[in-house]
Amino acid sequence: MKTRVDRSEATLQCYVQSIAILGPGLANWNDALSILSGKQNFCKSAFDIPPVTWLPAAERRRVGKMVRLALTVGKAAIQDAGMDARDLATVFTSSSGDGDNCDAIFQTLAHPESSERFISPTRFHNSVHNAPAGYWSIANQCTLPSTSLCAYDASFSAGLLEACCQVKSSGKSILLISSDVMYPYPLSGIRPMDSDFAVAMILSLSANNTTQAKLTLNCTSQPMSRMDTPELEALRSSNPSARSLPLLQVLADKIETRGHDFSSMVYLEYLEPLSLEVRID
Amino acid sequence: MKLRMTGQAFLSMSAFTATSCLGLGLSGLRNSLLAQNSGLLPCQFESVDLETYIGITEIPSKEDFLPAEFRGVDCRNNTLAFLGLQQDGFIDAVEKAKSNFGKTRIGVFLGTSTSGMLQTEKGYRELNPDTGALPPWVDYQRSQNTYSVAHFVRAVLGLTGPAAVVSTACSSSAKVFAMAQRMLQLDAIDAAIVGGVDSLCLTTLYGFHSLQLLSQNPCKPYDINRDGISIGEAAAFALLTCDDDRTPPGSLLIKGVGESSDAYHMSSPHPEGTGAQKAMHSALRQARLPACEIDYIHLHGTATKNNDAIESKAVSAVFDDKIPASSTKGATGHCLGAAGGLNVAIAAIALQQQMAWGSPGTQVLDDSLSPVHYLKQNTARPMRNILSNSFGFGGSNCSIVVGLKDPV
Repeated sequence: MKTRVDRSEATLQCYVQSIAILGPGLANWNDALSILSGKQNFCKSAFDIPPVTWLPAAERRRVGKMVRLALTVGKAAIQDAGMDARDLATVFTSSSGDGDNCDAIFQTLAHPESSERFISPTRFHNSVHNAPAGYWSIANQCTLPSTSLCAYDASFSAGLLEACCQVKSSGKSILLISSDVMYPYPLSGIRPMDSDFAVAMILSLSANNTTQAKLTLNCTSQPMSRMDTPELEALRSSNPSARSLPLLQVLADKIETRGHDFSSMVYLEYLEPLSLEVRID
Repeated sequence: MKLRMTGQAFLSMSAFTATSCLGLGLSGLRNSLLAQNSGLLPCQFESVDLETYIGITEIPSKEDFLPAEFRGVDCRNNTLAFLGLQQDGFIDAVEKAKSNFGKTRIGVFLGTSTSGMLQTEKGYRELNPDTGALPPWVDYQRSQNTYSVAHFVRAVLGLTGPAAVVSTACSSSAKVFAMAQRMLQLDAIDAAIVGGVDSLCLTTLYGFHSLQLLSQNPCKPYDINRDGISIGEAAAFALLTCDDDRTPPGSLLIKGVGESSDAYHMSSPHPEGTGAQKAMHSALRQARLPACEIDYIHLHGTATKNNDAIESKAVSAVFDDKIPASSTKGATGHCLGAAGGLNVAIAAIALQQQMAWGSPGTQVLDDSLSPVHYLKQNTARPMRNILSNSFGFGGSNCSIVVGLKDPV
């Protein structure tokens, strides 16, 4: 006998409890709601990633753009849901990692003399892909499991799939953070990105009175969804974490219309030949 | 009914392989472990001028080593991955799984810490003098990007299912077992290729040097004179499916995977090892085993002062001090993002050989460490369950119970 759940139990389903975003012209989820639902025009504009004032001072001095971006959206998602970060396992996903830190290390290592190749210890421990996860756990005293993923341009979908699997397996809510920062030159020459972008979501197994939507995931071979306007489509394709935008747009539509019988489907960029089908109810 | 949820079904590890400084595939690894050899050698790698020992793998540099469609990208990590995949009939096992399940129902989840960044490190020495641009042979997607190794392995194996790289420093390729476990138990996939590939590069050698964590000698886990790690490189792969009635007794199983975060410091473990304890307890809970049912603990044992002191504290808090334990880092070096996968392979060979491994390099045990029954020499003993530890920067902990299937 195969000890396998029937399909209904196994369905990759979870509930969105809160959403946070930080991108060019998308300063927070409230602004994004009006822009993505078409009530307000999207105007791409440069933005600063705020300092993470709630990190312990010793850590605050050490973190770069990547960690600040990831932690900023993570915190916003927690605050919006009124949850305690200590109660949430985390999935971090990023294609880029910390490009500034990486560039600085490579410059140092390019010295022909070994004695000149001195990387600072902080630079080195910040070079790990799970640096945002490490700082998040320290700042929030969260000892629950955390994973850090990369799947190139499919990083957001890989993170969403993993977060949903964790919710289904553990039965507990989870925080998903997807963030990508622009590389400095010369790395930007081989991996151009037009902007920094991050999104965070809290996902849970069951609905409650703060639930925003139900997501049902499935791997398919449907062509991926694109954004309606050239400006938003340019943003979607310019940053791996912004590959989440088709999903965020439908979530904004659903929340703004407050439609109880709302149902829609998007196909997020995943790994060829697959796309990630997300049904939003 | 949640029949296939966590804690119910174990995973069957029907095929596995590992390539490291101890040789190509399992035969080299097994023979070296049985002979208690170390593969560590004085560092002669690239332009690195550091007084340390490394576990270097003989990676073919022949142009035609890779299949035609994968040539043209000089990526040490992917070449090591390809070398590893060729061993122990692993590709045949994957082909069989493909015909059983279909190529879209097989996931690829691999751990790495530095992917193919050696290529970019070299590229930074040859920046265009006028524009400052990287040379055209630096291939971001197929070498530098953290996902590059899973992209490569998925393509080489002709798979089209879900995939990702887990990159949580030295726990990376342990945590992929948890990822595969969830996807398998939720029926999102029917089989998974998991493992880790991490190759030598300047960032890790000079990085650990800057932290003053590189030993000038072959590393000596749990030794009174231990003074740091020796860095190694490895490619380890396993084929996982959900265990069912068709798996015969005595088969290798992944019985539990426990994960936790220290929430303490970016590069130092929690002084009480509370995160490590949590990961070990969680793995035991999933495996439905009391601590006394573990027959051997395959330690993370990196041979830094701190790691071994804190790991011994955590292990002695969870386990009786009669359970034999050791680290094999003195034989293989610390393979970082591939360490977790390699540790599982070495634990699996221990079960097959019914041999608890000694600790090449370790001479005088540090008796100031918390009480652990540390093995310096190989010790034959009956074993059904082994716990394998992997801990990484950022306070990322993962423990895995590898065991043999019980008779019905």
